[in-house]
Amino acid sequence: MNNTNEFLLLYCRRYPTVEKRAKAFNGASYVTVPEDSAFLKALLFELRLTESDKSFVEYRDSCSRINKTSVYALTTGGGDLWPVLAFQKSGLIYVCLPLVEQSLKPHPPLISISGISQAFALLSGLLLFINSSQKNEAEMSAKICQLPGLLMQACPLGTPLDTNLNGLLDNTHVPTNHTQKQPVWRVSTYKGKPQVNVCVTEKVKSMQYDKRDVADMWQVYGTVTCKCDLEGATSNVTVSLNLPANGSPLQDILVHPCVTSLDSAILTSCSVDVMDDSAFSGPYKLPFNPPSDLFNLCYYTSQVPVPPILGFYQLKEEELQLKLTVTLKLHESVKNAFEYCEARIPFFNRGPVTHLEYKVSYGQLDVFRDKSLLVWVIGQKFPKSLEISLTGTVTFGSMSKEQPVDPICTGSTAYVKLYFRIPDYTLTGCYADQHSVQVFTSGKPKISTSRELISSDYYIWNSKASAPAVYRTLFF
Amino acid sequence: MGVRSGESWAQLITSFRAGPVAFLSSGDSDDAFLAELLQDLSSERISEQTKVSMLTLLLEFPTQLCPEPEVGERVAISLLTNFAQLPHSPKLSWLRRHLLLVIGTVLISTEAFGESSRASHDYLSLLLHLASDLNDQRQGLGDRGVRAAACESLRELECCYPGLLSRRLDSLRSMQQQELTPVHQGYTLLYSLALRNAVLLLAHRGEGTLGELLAGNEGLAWEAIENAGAVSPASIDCLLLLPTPTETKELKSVLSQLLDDSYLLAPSAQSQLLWHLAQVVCVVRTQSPVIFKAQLMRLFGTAHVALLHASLQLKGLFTDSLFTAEDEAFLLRRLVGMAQHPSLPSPVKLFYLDCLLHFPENRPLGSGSEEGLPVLLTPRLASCLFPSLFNDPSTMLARLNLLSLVCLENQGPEAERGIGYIFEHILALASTVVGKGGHEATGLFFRTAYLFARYFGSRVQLMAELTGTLVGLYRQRCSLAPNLINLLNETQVVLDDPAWPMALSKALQELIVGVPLLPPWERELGLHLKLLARMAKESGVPQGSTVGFLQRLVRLAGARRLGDWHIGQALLTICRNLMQHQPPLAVGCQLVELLQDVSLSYPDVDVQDRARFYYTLLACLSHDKLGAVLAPGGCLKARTLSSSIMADSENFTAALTVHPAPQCLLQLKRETLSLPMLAPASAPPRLFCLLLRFERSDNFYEPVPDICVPCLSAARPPPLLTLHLQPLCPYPTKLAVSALYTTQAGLTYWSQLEPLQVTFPDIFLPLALPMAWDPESRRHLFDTLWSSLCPEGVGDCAESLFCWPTSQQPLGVLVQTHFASYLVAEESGIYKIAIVLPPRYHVLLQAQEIQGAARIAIRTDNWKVLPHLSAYLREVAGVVE
Repeated sequence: MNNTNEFLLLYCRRYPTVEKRAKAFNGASYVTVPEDSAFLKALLFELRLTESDKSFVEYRDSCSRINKTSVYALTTGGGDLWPVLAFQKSGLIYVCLPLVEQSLKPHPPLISISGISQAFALLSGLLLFINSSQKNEAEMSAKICQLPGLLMQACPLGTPLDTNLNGLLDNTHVPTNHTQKQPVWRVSTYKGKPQVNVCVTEKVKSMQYDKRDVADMWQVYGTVTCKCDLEGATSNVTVSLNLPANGSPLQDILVHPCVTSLDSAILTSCSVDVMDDSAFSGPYKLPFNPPSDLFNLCYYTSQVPVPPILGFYQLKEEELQLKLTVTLKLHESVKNAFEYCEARIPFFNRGPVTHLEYKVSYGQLDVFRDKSLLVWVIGQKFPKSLEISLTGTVTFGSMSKEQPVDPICTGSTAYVKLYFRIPDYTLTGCYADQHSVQVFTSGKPKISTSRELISSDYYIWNSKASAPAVYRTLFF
Repeated sequence: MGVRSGESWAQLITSFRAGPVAFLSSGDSDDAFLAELLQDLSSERISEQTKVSMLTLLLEFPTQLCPEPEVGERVAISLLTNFAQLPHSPKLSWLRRHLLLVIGTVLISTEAFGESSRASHDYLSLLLHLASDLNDQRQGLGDRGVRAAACESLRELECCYPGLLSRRLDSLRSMQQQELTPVHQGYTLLYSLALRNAVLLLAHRGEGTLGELLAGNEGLAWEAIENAGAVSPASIDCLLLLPTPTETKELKSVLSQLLDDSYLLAPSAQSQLLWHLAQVVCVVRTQSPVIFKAQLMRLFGTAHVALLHASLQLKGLFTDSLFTAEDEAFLLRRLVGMAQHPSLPSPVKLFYLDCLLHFPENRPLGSGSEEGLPVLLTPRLASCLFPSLFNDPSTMLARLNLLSLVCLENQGPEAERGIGYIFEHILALASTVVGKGGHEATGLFFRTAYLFARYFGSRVQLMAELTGTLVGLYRQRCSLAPNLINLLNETQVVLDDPAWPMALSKALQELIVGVPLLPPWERELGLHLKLLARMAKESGVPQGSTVGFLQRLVRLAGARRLGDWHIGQALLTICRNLMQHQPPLAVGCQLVELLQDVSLSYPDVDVQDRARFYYTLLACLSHDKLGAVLAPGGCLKARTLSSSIMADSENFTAALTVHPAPQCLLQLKRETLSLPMLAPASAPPRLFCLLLRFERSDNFYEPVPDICVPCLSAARPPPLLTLHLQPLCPYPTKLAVSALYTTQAGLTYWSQLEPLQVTFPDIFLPLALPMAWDPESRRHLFDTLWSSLCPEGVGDCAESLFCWPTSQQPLGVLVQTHFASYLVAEESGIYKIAIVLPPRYHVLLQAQEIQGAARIAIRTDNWKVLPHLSAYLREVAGVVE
């Protein structure tokens, strides 16, 4: 795990009884798990994270060695250690070596290894725990210190029992005086006024090219988060997600494991299918037994007919300067009330901006010379015409080491990236309100609901140069 | 033995974890540490928290701490006593949980667990006793965690010794049913595992009935320990049970109840439960898998990877007896959707993509272990999985691979369009290699090129375009040579028709032989030659132009415009490959001439010798024999060569290779006058042509030239070598030393020697003073120098003072021992010392003894040497910090 440029081991847990079973399954071909330092070295070599060794090493870098998953084989003194599952996130590496209850020669397909998804679940839980509300190094090391205790509950002897480490933090037991079994995750000790909070967050991604031969792409995906502060060990809650009459049906719905039952109609709509007018359009009823902490009740995707903001970007190199034109149009159906909205225009593989002449029809333009970045701050509203434009010419100094580089944006290949957030709005129209949350518990709970639309990877490419296509259809 | 403090234990634990083997071998004996650990665990002066961390050592490294079962047994007994003495206080619950888990781990891992072990009996009865306190009735809330640990320990025992609890299924079930607190998960997992193991064993042995099994309420099945490997979940396909209708009904009620409550378990535990029950149903053929139907919709919709995996495993196990064709199509569509779901983390999506290629179909066409495309995965369905430049490398490769399979297995305009897009994508990747993509982009591009060649190698036009792209890349970045060689090798292995690798070879050869030979060529020439050497192995590629290129090089070498040993060796490797792989008529004559030219005119003697050797081989041996001689690692048949000139040697190729030395035979020892002396370190053989190479660890010195020793023998005294160091900066350094030598057996070895330390005093030189100068002139010179190095003057001058008590040795003795040759003058107890530091620096010292303390005033014209000087003075003065 990371500290400046060197990777250090932050925490490690071994399960000798599991190793004993692995030995039994593999006999003579069993590969011993090496000591920590040797394991770390082998891992960093395989992931090409060692500074010293960047040259071509055939048994690692051969073109026929194609890693299509996050499962690796580590070369150790005793042989190849497989399947080592490794995630990298924010400078940390999370690693797990699950048990394979069959012979490893030849490597069985991952789908046949029960331990693989358990390892995924454990590492995902670990990752969520480390990354939840962690701001500085002190908090980080406090979290690392909590790990031995948490893993002792989550996975005491190598079999994961509950991988939601955040849920295990509150270790107080609640007395049982019920006649029916409690869900394992419901250990709430909440005392106070019952309240339920439901938030629908939609993100929109887009790639716009303004070209005849490359299709524009936009995609909406949403997350419904929930926090239920309710007394008692068993309480059932039902959240219904609604769509207005002209809303876009929710697709690829994935629900949290605490959802107790699902109507098949909710799952039928799938983004890989051709759009169907008769698609189920809600309400999407999700009954569940809420965990005590904040959780993602469900995820979905959707296909909306138009992108919220349509953009055009033209950039031409003329002699020593660039001429650029950016036009943005807000679609009339979209709520014109932003928390923020800005367009960032970065220039890569060039020197710093030395001279800029521009004209904006609306908003203001900031220049970050060292970063070779223009930021067009549009603010809270588009003007009445819903269309705004920027024209200008930019001159650059000579290229230096501090200037940003990018392997894709070479030549005139360039983009404008939009950042915006619209509160109390979703593109699909999806919403939950007071009436769509039912709580089966004593006392009337306070229900609060909210929704928002946030941009995510919203690119508008220069239409005067080649641009990387992200969406290809085989059918016309 | 006293009790350690908590801090002391924390340190011990950290150093133990860093390297258990080294830690234990560094102590007095293995037992001493363990004994101390156990003793302090029962001490009241150690905090619970420290005890918990001490226990983790036994939990994670039991076999290192207890190498024998007897030790394991002893430790377990000690910990059991420890457990019994702890009161039932909620405060101690955490420690008691650890103790339970540790005892089990120690017993299992050290193989101490067994019927004859007292600790095992005590431990099991303790666990069963603790587990029987249902719903916290006896010990209350505080002990709930201990109960959970007891269930978990029992589950681990049953897991390691399948069948151990197989005669107690009824009591396990009754506990499972009665428990209502969240600990019910532990009881459920324990019961479902015991049930699975019992059913598998019953089917395996065929003794007893399912009814007896489910109603079992007897003791433990200790024999399970001996038969631990009897039944493996991997072999359930060949097991079956056909119980009576009554028994089946009983089983069904057990299963339904477990499944009905399954949604109350944490997802990981749920997926284990489903898997255990699925295996039971798979073996009991009278029970229909439809019992799982009610769970499926919940599983299909889940965002949790372990639960979705469980549904895929159910699919694999039961195929069409649980999943209708509609279910199958639905599951596949969901899986494709999840493989690109923007809300899921990338590793999970990659797992789902991998599952797609091993999708358990109801009617599979291929074998299970190979990658294959499910029939239902149509181009339309797969088209949402097109890779983009924004994907991470693994995602891109996985998607490209899947899409390639889709285009390969389907025909028509969609597939053609797909191939076109894939190719465009690869070209886009190629342009990132030229851009600032770095190693990652390079590796990725070559992998995609390999995949494309593997799947679409027969598409002449696209492959020709790929060749052009690769050649263009090489033209811009010669450092891609190893990647290109690797691509050639790998595609040759997978393609039935080697036409493409051949075409790529030709195109690259054409490019290289056409490059103008202008300086600076050293860096790129080596890479060009490496590629040509690879192409020389292709008998289908005409090599005339290669030989022509080499001739141009040799002419340049003859004119002394190049002639480095490495280039010579690379050139000869090409010749060797040509001799071995090309038909003699093709390049024979030209090659003979070339080798002769090298042997006569190449500036390096070693290269000349090897060229002469090849020349002789080529001139004297028939092509067949030549091939046999040069075959890599091939053992020569003595008979075929009996008449040839080389008949007395066993293996020429071995003689032509440099082998890493199995052990280091050599050692450089310093003579007093800072000259290294070479001495064999162990059993001394005779070594010839010994070449010592020195590599700098920094840029403080000019490169150190190689040193050649013609012969090294134990019979003669070790030779004295003089190492000429030319400092650029006057600092100490370290030189890595390697040796290349030939043994009496004729084999060449390479070996790394201990690095050579160049210390600070090694670079001291005295001031060059005329011999005839009188003390007065010398003093005057020193004083002039002293004032010229005044720090107020120019640049890097600095002044410093070093003092220490002279209790160890008088100052005069120290000056005589260490600075005699640098002493310029001595005046009323003041020693004036001048040291020259090459290339052009000076250090002046004025040392005197005042009141039992030595005082050295220092001036230098390079302040950066002060730390080194101070360290040196401290060392010679014996000053301890």
